[in-house]
Amino acid sequence: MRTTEVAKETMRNRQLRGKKKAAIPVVLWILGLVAGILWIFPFYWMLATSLKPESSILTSVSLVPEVFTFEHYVTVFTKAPLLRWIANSVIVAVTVTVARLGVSSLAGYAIARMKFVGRDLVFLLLLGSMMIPDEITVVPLFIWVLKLKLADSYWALIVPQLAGAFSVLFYRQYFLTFPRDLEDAAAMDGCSSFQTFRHVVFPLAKSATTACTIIVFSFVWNDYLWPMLVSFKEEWMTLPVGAAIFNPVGFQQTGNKFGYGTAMAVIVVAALPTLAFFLGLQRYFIQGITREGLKG
Amino acid sequence: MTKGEARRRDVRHRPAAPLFFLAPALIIVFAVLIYPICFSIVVSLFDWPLSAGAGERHFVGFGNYVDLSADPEFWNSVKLQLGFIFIAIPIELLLGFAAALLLNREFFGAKIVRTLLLLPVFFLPILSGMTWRFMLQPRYGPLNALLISLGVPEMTWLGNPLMAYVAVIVQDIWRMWPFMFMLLYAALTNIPAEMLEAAEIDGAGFWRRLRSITVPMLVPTMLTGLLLRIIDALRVFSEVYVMTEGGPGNATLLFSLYTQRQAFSYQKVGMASAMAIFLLILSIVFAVTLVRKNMSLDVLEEKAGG
Repeated sequence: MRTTEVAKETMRNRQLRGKKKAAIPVVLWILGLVAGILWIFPFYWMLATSLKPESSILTSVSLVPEVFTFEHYVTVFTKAPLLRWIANSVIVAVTVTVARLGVSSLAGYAIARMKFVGRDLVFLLLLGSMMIPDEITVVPLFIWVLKLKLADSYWALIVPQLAGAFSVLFYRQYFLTFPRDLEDAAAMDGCSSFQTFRHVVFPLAKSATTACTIIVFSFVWNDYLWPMLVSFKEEWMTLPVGAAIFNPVGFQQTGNKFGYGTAMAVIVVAALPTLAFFLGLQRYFIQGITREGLKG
Repeated sequence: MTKGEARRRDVRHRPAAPLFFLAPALIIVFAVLIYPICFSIVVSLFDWPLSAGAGERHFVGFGNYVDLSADPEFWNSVKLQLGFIFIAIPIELLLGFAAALLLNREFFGAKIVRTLLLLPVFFLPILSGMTWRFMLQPRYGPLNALLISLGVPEMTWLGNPLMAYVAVIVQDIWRMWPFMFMLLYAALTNIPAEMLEAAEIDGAGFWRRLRSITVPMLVPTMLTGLLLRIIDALRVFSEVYVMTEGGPGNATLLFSLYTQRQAFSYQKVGMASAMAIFLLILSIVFAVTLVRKNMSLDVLEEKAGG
C-alpha cells in the first residue's frame, strides 16, 4: 500500500515540476533503448539459432533465420529424456522447498518466541552456517553417497539439500514482528504451542512463506554441482545437468553428438518454465528480500 | 534481539516445546552441514585418494595446507576468484543503482521495462554460460560475425586467456546486475518523496540530494545485496564450467573449479578438503565484515526511527 502511495506522490511531484526535466530523459531514453537491445540480444540469438537448420548455423550468420525449422525441438524431445529431467527437477525442488519451509518455520518460531537455554547459541550457529558455501560439504557427502550406494536416486538428490539456515533466519525475522495477542488468545483457549503454531501463526505468515518459497525454490532449481555429481545415468539428471550434455562444444567425457541448433533449443525449452514461473512471482521475490530481508 | 524484546513476557510453553520445534532443523543441520564440515577438517589432514581403500590413506598433519601454500595454481585460483568478485560485483552494484535511479519514474512502458530487466536473473546460470559460449565462438558466433562485417579481424575470445576471463566476468555482470537493480529499485521507492522534495526546496541539486539522502538511505540495502552476491560469487561454478572448463590453460580456473578438479580429476580428496576449509574461512571473513556493518546500521535506523 505504502509503495503505491509513495509512487503516486512521486508522480504528482514530477508533474508539478513540469517540463524542464524532459530533455534529460529523452537522451537517456535513446541510450537506454540501445543498451536494452544489446542487452537482450543473447536471448534473441538463442531463440533465432534454435529455429535455423544446422547447416545454415555453421555457414552464415544471419539475424533472422532464412529457413525456419523445428527439427531441433523434435530432436530435443525424442533423443533426450527432457521431460524426465524436468520432472526430476520439479520433484527435487518441490520436496526440498516444502521440507525446508516446514522445518524452518518451526525453528524460526522457536528462536523468535521461546525462551530456552542456548537460544543465542542456536541462532549464531544457524547464522554462521548460512555463510557456508556448498563446496565444503560436497566432498564428504559425495563420499558417503558412494559408500551407501545411493547415487542415481532421489535420496541423493534431495537429502543433502535439506539444510538451509537462510529460511530459518527469514522466519525468525518475520515472527519477531508478529503481533503476540493472537498467540496469547489461542493459549488462553487451551491451544498447545504446536496447535497455536499450526492453526494460528503459520497460516498468518503467508507473506513470509511465499517469499521464502520463491527464494529456496530458485536456489534448488538452479543447483548444478551436486546433482551433476550424484547422477550417473541420464534418467536421474535434473534439468541443468541434462541441459549441460548439449553444451555445443561438448565435454570430452560425454562426447557431444548434438549440434548448436539442438543446444539452443534445449536452452529455450529449459528456460521457458523457469522464466514464466519467476516473472509471475517476481513481485513477492522483491518484497521478500527487501521487507523481511536479511537484517541480521 | 533487543533488550525490550527479551523483557517482554513470552507466551507460556511447556519446557519440552522448544526442543520439539527445533529438533528437525538441528538434526538436519548437524547431519548434512556440521558433520560434513568436521569430516572435511579431518580429511584435510590426510593424504586421501578418492577411489582408494582405507589402507592407502595416510595422516599428513598440515601437509596438505603446506602443499597448497606452495602451489602456484592454488594462488592463481584465489587471485582469479577475488578478481572476479571485486570486478564483477561493484560494476553490478553501480549499473543496478544507475538503472534504479533512471527507472524510478513513470513513463510509457516503464512496467514492462522493469520486468524485462529481471529476465537474466531467472535464467539458469548453466544456460547463460552455454549461450555465451556459443556467442563467442569463432566463425559462427555473432560477435565475431559483427567484427568481420566491420572489417576487424576476428578473435577466438575463449581461446585467449585474458579475454576468456573478461568474458566470464561480463557473463556474470550481464546475468546478475538486474538483481542489484531489483533490490535498489524496491528500496528507492520506499524513500519518502517529501524528504527529497524538502531538500530540493532548500536548494539541493541532483548530486547533492543523491549524496546526502538517496545513497545513505540505500546503504543497508546495498550491503544486503553485496552480502548475498558475494556469498553467491564465492561458489560460482556451473556457468564458468560450461563456458571455459577453467581454460584456456588455467586462465579462468576459479576457486571452486580448482577444488572440484583436485577432488574429482586429481582424486586428491585431502587437498580438496583443505581448499574447502580455506574457502570457509574466506566466506566467514566476508560475511562477518558485512553483517557487522549491516547490523550497526540497523541499530542506527531503529534509533532514528524510534
